[in-house]
Amino acid sequence: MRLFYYPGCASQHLARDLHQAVEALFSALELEIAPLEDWNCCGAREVAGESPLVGLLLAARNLALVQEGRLIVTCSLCYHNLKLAEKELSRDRESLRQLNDLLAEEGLSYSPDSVRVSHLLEFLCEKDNLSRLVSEVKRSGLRTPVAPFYGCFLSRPFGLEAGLMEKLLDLSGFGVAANPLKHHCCGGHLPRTDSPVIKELCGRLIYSAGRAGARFLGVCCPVCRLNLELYGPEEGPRVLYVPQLLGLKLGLPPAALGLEDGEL
Amino acid sequence: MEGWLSIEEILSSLAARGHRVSRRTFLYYVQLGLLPKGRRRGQPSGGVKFFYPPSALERLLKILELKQKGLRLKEIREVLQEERPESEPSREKAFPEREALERCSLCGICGGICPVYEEMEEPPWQVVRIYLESPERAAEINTPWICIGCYLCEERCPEEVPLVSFMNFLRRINREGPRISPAQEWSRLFWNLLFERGRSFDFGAVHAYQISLLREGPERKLALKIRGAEGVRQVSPPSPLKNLRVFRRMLSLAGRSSR
Repeated sequence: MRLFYYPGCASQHLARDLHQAVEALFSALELEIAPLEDWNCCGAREVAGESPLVGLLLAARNLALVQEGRLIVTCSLCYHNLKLAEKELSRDRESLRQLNDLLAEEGLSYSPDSVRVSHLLEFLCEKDNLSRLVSEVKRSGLRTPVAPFYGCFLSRPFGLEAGLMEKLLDLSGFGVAANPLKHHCCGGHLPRTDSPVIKELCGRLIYSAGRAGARFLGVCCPVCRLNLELYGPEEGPRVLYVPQLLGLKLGLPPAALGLEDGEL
Repeated sequence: MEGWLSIEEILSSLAARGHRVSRRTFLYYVQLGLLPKGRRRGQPSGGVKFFYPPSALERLLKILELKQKGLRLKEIREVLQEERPESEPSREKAFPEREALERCSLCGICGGICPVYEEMEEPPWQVVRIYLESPERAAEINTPWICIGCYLCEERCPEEVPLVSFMNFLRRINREGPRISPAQEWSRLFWNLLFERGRSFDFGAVHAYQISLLREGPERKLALKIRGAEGVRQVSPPSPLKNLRVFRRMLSLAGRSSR
């Protein structure tokens, strides 16, 4: 089965480090995953205010580009939008027909049975990939504690199987700090409205991770990362992307993971 | 690909209507983007044939009609781009799951659990109540624009009220309404940028980073400034899609225009 990776818009600007880390991780694990050619924006949060067809079109164009195979996604909002389209269109044949008429403009068509959307965490936790990861881990003996943070869209409404991030962190040699707020909200797009609430939300999340003894807070989503970094307190666990953390345990140089020197 | 037509089928059905178009002209129109691209399909005989969606025929008739009116191909292209879908998605008036809203027992859990309730003029359950009493009043509340869509309320609602889709619905029907939240402006910027390149670039503005306008007007050029250990870095927007014209057309046919 062919594997594709959906980078998402943030990979091109604010989350270039995440993108770099994911690509480095794939090549360290010798996984042949090509970035999806000519992908488009998933519609982010803004599709919520549009007719459902608009959101479905943005997602379905990407799924149609896959043609046949799996699409691996890291950003949780992209995951939510692509998964939503996958679910809706396998059920709602009328919308699927309408969309395929639209996609025909570009010579594309989407068939729900031939494309599967998976989150990176799910993909890495599959048996083969997990054993690749474990065999590549450079043991250091030191189990630095990391608090997992899933945020909203990896928890609801298409929640990932419980404990995936914990499993990856544990098997790659980190300590897992219990984080009671791991499914909570970072404030999402709220900073757009210059909200003071966001500081409180992010502060609470960092504080909770710190109390659990974590050195790092592991996230997957560019919005979570940026909110926590910008609006969280300066003291407390550092926020890193899970692929960056895994990459470090594989012995990859920080620069290859988008980490600036002295950041650790 | 059911119902898709080969070039021969399209041309002969045109001929039946008294229009003569050559194969070469047809392919030229496809190349110009006036007609949708075809899809290859292998033939039992071993060769490969191209098939086109049924809409190609209607589009071709439209092109011929415009040509008869004396329009040049470039102008025809513009007309086709501007053309609104014939069956504009009917504007919704009422929330389709009204009974689900009526189930709300006013327990207030949604307001309590909402991570951003402090920003809201009314908690979700109040908006439900107001909407059921007088839908117009619900248009004046900022709550739907503040909602992040995190699903915490829906997850906890004892009556399983579809609060997220209700908030989305309110955003949708009040999109053109008077500005009640800065989030509406951001939304407009998002779509403008999306139409510009098919990929979004408004995150910068979102996160107190700076989007700088380097050039205005049709040559608008944006860049994003990111703080890092080595000072401020300027980042350019994502590269655009290969065929933006078709992308825009699909998006407007789906019901979203750039403004």
